[in-house]
Amino acid sequence: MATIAIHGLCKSYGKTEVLRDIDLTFEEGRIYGLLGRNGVGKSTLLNLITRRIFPDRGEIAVDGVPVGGPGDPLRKIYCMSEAALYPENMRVAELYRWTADFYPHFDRARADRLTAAFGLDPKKRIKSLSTGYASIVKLIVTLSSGAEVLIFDEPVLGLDAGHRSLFYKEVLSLYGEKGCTVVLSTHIIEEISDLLESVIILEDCRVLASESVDGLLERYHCVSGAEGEVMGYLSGREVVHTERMGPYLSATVAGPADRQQADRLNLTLMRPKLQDLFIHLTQGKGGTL
Amino acid sequence: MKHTLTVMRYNLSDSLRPTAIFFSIYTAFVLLNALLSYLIPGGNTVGSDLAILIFLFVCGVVGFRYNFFFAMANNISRRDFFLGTALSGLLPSIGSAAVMIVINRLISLFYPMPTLYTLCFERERLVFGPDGIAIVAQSAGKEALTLLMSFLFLAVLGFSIYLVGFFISALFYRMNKLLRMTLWIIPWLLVVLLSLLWPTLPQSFTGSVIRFFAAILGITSHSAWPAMGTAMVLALLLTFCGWLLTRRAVLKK
Repeated sequence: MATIAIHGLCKSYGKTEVLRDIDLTFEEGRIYGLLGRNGVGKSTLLNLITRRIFPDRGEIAVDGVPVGGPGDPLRKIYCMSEAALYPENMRVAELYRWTADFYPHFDRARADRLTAAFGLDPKKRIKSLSTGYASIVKLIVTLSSGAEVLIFDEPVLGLDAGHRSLFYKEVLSLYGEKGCTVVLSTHIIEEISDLLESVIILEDCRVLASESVDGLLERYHCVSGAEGEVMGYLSGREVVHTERMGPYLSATVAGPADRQQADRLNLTLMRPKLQDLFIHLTQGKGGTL
Repeated sequence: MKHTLTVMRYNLSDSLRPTAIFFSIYTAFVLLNALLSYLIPGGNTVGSDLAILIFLFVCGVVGFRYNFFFAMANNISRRDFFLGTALSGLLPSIGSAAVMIVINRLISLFYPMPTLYTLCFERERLVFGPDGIAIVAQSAGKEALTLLMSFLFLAVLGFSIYLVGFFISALFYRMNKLLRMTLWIIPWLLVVLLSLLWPTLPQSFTGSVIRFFAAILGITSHSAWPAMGTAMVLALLLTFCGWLLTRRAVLKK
């Protein structure tokens, strides 16, 4: 299995800086969630990894082999892109055949099984597919590619709840079967939070967090109760977010919870949800009321 | 290298349908023309094989953008994509030239159909009617050589024109809208400027320019070899420029 190491990666579009000195490692055999607000550079980072665009500075290596140099380390990666990159006139079955030519470990049996499971007609041309089915084709090709690192950029775009559930099951099944590295870049965090082992949060051109999901969630806790008691609990602590609901106050706090103090003040302690924590950590970027 | 061949195979399979459509239309056209000129004497299809050059140019022009996207989707290196796409013009050029010669010979059994090569380099073999239209290519006992040269001329010119089309396609992909507009305008500006300035330039200079072009295009020597050489050199130069453009091309969606 493959490890992707990124060092000092910088990327700007004109005068707009998108990524600044990014240092990251995607370790082999883990499921990563790449999270960030709109326009924060998630797709840019994935396109840089697969050399679809070039960095201004920095290095990317797969298993120690620099991307773009000799050795063709990109053969170990398949990146499902949000953009439509397949020839519009190509039929779905033809796409499988050509992908198998480029990726020798392409699992045609898996592709056919998933095609049937998703209810996709393999004789259809790419251009005649709906938004959801266009995403499904990309998902099937990526899941069947046989690559060691599977990258999904907005994988569930246009998919209904049933198809999304099927996709998540397939990711887990493939992961259990082959132990490949999976990177999921999506805005639907709540749905994938149970799948993820590690999370990378991009914010303001840099990496805000890169650690295991459990590790991240353990660094924060939620406290709720009567406003006065909660305010007492919060004094001297780093508060990430507060929300008032009538006489009650709920807060997300950095650092370990003080269970004794919470009990004394009759407060409820909870582990934060990944999506809520993500929103609180990145809400300085706008989008709040 | 393996992926270069796969890209080539993909491009070839992608161009099979348009090629079949082209040859169907072309054959129908020359047959119809032959039939019409049988009914109304005086017509001919001299140099109709020029059509294949236009077709190959179009193949080159459409060869970059969507194939580049597909190559990027499959993490194909720019080197493999470039080599595969550039070389995938070779087989259609050779194949099309051969098919054109076969069509030409078949039609020529019933109807005069001199090739582009005959028209350019063996005009002395053409017999012209009173209206100036070539009606037949005289046989001078070197029919086989003419056929071979016609085939080579078409194949080399076809491949060169395919590469020129590919270069133009790569250039347009890399340019922004303003540069594309400028690129459209520059050739027309050059034509207008040259036609205005040409009479004012010293005759010794214009004469040298004309002699130079006549020499490299084989007009002076009445030989196709200089023309083929010039086409290949030009195509190779533009291909090198095409590589410089491709190696830094990024996904634009």
